[in-house]
Amino acid sequence: MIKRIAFISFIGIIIILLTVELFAYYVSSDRPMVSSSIGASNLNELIRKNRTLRKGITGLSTNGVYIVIDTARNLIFLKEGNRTILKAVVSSGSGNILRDPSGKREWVFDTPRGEFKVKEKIAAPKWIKPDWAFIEEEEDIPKNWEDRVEEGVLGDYALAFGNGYFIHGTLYRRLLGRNVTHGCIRVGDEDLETIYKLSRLGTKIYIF
Amino acid sequence: MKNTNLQFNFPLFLFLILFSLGGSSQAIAGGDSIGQKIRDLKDENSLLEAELRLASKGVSYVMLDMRTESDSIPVRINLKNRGRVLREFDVERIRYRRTKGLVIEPIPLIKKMAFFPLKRKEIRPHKPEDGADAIGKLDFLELKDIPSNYTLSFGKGLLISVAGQPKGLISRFIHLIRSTLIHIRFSLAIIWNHFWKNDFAIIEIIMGNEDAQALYWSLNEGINILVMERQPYDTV
Repeated sequence: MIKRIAFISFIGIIIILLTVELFAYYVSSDRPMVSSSIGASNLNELIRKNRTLRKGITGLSTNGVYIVIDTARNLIFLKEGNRTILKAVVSSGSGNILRDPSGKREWVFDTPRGEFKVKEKIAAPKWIKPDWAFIEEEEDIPKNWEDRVEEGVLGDYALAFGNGYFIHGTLYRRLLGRNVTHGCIRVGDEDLETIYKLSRLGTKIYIF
Repeated sequence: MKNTNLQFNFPLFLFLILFSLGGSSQAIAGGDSIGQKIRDLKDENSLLEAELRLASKGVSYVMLDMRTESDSIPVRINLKNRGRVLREFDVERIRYRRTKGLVIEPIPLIKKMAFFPLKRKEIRPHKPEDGADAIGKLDFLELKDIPSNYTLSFGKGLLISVAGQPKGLISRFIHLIRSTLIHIRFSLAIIWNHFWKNDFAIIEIIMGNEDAQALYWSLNEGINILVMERQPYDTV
């Protein structure tokens, strides 16, 4: 008896669901529609407008070399038009959070997304350690600027793209391909050299 | 014995019916070929105008052009900036329902909703350690931490539900149950919004697991989407 009631209830639920589904299908507009009559439109004018708009969009993308960074797959592409000059594995932002023990400050280590450009090209870069680097390592924040300078950790080259973010080298090659940085983009030495040599000040960087 | 088999297969049966009902209509509107061409061009120009406005700003945006759906050309979600495709995400299956045709204009992403949302990890300050041990202790977000089943809530009543293609029997079963429940939920929402005359559109997408995760990662709140419907509708 219980088995029978359960089965009938089950069938009842299925029927209700199917009714809902059929009703939703009926009221949804994604079903065959009959087109209405078409007003007078100049086909040639529309075609001309279409071409102009397409040109306008194509014209927005700059000529020359540009950089694309895919932070989900940790890949960097050096491109020219549709041609890929270089594809390399990188490390990008970890997305982790660091809180100042005083509770007044907080850092989120994301790589920024959007359109940027190369603002500075630096050979043999030195890292000026920000406050979070000391807090993360349980060290006191130095009062002298000189105490913040660290050499050799950023590799041979660095490309600054604003707000303290860089594309630079790394000592931790085995972490390439993983999201481990504080927001910068770490690249292997050889790939970094190619990127550094082929990009100029103003080269566009697209990060997503 | 017969009953057991029947009950076991019923969710699959229901799912197949729901799926075929929801995504089967691919009608082409009537009318002569020049009329159709004019209609298509008007839609296309509206899309290009909207894209030009977005692309001029230098911000990333998303384009979902459902007109391309065919056996040979699958639908793709394109992440773009200044008209340039940064990444293409292949869609394996798409289903679209709405109460009214979507206006071809940028629609901002308001919220990403997932049953298991992405949780950021907090760094505990520690003295630096040297070598492999230190690297082994690193804790960071990775693609595998990103949800592959989620809903993107855009403005103007647009919802995009994304589901990664499940692997393995258990995952497929969970996926089946989840898809069915979501589908029922959206069916009810369609009816509700139809009666209240609200703009509401739901796009259900199935894509590769990693692509679904990468898409979640790549889309920030505020990013705009341009959607081009596959269904001819009255714009003239």
